[in-house]
Parts: sequence; C-alpha cells; structure tokens
Amino acid sequence: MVRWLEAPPSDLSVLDRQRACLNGQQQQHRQQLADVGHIVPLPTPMQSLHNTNDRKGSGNISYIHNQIGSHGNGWPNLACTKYFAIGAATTGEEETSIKEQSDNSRKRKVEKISNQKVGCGNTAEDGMKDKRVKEDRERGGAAAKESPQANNRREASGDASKENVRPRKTDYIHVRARRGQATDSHSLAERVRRERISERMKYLQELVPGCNNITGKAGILDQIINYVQSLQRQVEFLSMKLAAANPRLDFDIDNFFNREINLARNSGVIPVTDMSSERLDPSYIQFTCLHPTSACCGLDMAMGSSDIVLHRTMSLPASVPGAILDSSLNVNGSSSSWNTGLQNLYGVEVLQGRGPAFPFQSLQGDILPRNLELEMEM
Amino acid sequence: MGNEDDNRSLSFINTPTPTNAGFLERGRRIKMAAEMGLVESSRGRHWSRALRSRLLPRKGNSACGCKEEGTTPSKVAEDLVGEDGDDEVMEIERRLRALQKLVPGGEDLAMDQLFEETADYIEALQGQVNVMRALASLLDGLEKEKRLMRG
Repeated sequence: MVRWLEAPPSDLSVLDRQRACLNGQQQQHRQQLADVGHIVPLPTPMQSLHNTNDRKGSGNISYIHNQIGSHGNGWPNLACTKYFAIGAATTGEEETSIKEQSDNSRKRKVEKISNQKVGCGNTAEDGMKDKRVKEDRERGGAAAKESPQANNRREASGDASKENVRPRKTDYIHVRARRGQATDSHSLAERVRRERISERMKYLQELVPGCNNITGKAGILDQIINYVQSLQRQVEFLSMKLAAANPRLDFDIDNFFNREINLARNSGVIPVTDMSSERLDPSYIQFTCLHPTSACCGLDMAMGSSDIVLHRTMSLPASVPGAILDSSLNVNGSSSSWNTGLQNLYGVEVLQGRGPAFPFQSLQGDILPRNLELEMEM
Repeated sequence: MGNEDDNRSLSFINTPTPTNAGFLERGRRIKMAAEMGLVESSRGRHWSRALRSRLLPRKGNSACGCKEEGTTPSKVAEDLVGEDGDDEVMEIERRLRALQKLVPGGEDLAMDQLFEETADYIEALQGQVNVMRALASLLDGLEKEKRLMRG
C-alpha cells in the first residue's frame, strides 16, 4: 500500500501517500522500497533513516531517504503534496494534513520541482503528476521497466478517482500528467518513447540545414528526406567527377575489397588508427605527387576550378552547376573535416565522433606528400 | 522530390557508349570506394553493416549480429501521434517509409532507432561528401597547375 516510496516524493500520488500516512505502515514502506527495482541503488532503508534532510540536490534518491527518515515523526518530510493531484476521493482532513507536509517539505522540494516546471498552487483538480516519466528520463529510461510493477500495485488499490484514460500529448519534455491520466505501464512507456523520438527529431533538425523554422513532423521529415537524398546524389556525382577529373586516377578497387574480405575472415576488429600513414596501403589509390606544396595549394584553389573541369569533360544541365559551385565554395570551410573525410575515402578505420577530430595542420604536414601522389605527365 | 531532375542530370551515368564506358566504370568503382569509406568510418552502426553487406558479396551471414531483423515495416509508426487525425499519421508514415528506403538497413528499424541511424548516416555522408569535394578540388588544382606548367 505504501507505494509512494518507490519514487521520489514529487512522483507520488497524494492519495497513496495519504493512505500510507493514515495507516502508518512503516514496515511496508521499507519492504516495498526494497522491492522496487529502480531504487535498488539506495542503501538499506535503515541507513536512509539517518540521512539528513539537507540533501537537496542529490537527486531523486535523497527524497526517498528523507521520506523514510521522517516517517516516524509525523509527516514533516513527506513529499510536497500540494503540487500533486488529489483524487476525487480525498477528504478534507487528509487535505489539511497533506498541506502541512507540503509546507515543511516545500523548501527542499522547490528546487527540484521548479526544475520540473511544476506550477505552484495546483489545485486538487490537477492530474497526477507523472514524475515517474521524468525519473525515467533522468535514469536513462531504465526505470521504465520497473515502474509497471509499481503502477500495477497502485492501480490495484482500487482508486476510484483515477481514470484509466490515455494520456494526453504534452508539448513539454517534462511530462506532466493531466487529471485522470493513466499511470499504467503502457502509457508511461509510450510517453518515454515519444519523448525519445522527439529528442531525436530535434537533433535531426539541427543536423539538417534549413529546417529550424519548420514545425510539424511531416515537414521536418520532408526536409530530412530531401537532405539525405541530396547527400547521396552528391556522393554519386562527386564520384563521377573524380572519375572524370583525372583520367589517370586509378583506384585499385579490387585490392581494396580483397583486403576487406580477408580481414573480415581472419579477425574480428581492425584496431582503430589515426592518420598514421603506414596504415594506408598505397595500392588503394595510385597517385604520384611531385609537388607536395602545390598539393596543399590545390586545396585553396577551390573557387571555380571545378566547374571549369566539369564543363570540359561533361555537359550537364543547369541544375547541376549550382551544386558544383556550392561544393567548391564549401571546400575551404570544410577543411577541418578533411582528415576525417580522407580517412573515409581511404578506408582507414577511425572513431567517428560527432565532429572533426583532427586539426588540419597534421594533414598538411606529412601525410599529404606521402599518401597523395598524383601521377603527372611531365 | 526532384527525382526527375535527378534522372535528367545524372542519366548519362547509366547510358554507356563506347566513349564513356571506361569512364562510367571508373565512376562506379569510385562510388563503391566512397561507400566503403562510409562503412569504415562508422563501423558499429546498423546502417553501416547493412551497407557493407550490400557492397560486399557475402556467402554466409554468420558474422553480422543484426538485431531487430524481425521488425515488420508496418511497425515503424506505431501510434506515435495518437491524437492527430488519421491522415496526418498516414502522411508521416509515408515519409517514414521513404526514409526507411533511403537509409541502408532502414527497413528493419522502428521510429526511434530509425532517427538515430539517420542522424549518424547523415553525419557520415557529410564527411564523405566533404572529403570527395576536397579531393576533387585538389585534383583540379593540380591539373590546372599542370596545364600552366605546360603552357
């Protein structure tokens, strides 16, 4: 019955807490504390009794400690019940007692609760806060599996005031259950999942240029699809361009793939390397460069040279030169990713972080003359 | 979504003639090299494994520990926005399927994982495009120098 101890005070249903207080069942608190999976990392309940009430910022766990510790004294440390929905079945007595508790614990809880965007002065009509979702978020969603257990017990208490209504969609990351929102495992898990999905969509929105002002999933998805398609087309187009730009450029593809297959057969993982040149098999790309310095300069000569070559070797409709110019204009700006990109092309394994890892200087220093050798007719 | 433009501009790739046969073949090999570069740069990823198995002919599939193989395509958009009208959900589902086709190995993925893989795939593609651009401009610069030196 005392299930509220399974979650931080802010997550608990007022009704449950009332029941717990009225029944005075400490033993069950501790028992169920131990049962619920997501507070396993807590010390034993007896130890927690000694925790002070000052541990404000230490997260969810401290509130549970505080609750247990204060339980014998009346209910000074019980969760700030003022912020939580009281079901329709609460009586006046229970409400006053709850308010007492809330006043005492408000100082401690304000910091946490304000972070959770709990508005003050919520009336009893507000729905139960589903802080368990926040907790899940804080714990990386690991608790979602344990919460069904708690939720089932809660529902089994036969609360007439709670309605098993499908949760309404909220716009905030900090999910707040409205009145009558269900706390069953399905809806909680769904909400967690939905939050995860929206988080990923936001990240995609940042990745894809030009979709910051677009609201609505469909539009954003459209932009994402367009962007992926355009990137794939660019890869294809650039490969054709590379084929055309230097007719003597000979990619030793067969050797490259043979090496891949052999390695796959023989070993598990090829160790990750940096740009050390001994890893690069010169048979991959047959270049001979006679002028290392000019090779570096070639990178700077980005403007306009590419489209000249292009017009010479292939005839393309007007839509494509836009991409060419775009590519040539961007080369200087993208020089920092030259290293990671080169490794992409050469097939050297690297740890692909979220951004370019290596400074451009290292490339210009030694790697280029050794690895990029362009055959030149002299 | 510009597919017609795509076909018009790059259609020459797929029409081999005596003059451009060698060039086309070289282009395809370069593209395959580029895609292998993509694979190598993000080795642990689901899309990377899928792309790799597409590129390299494999006899047995023993080495790939792909999870989520059993996800049917219809699962991709399971009740993600229950509150919206049905056509909106349909619209979004349609786009999700298109995205699934674009991302290698995307058919197996549900929505949240699909987005994660898409983000990683986009980043890898960006890196790949950057290096190819730089390489192309480098070659252009060298060619230009060569021409200048000749003349």
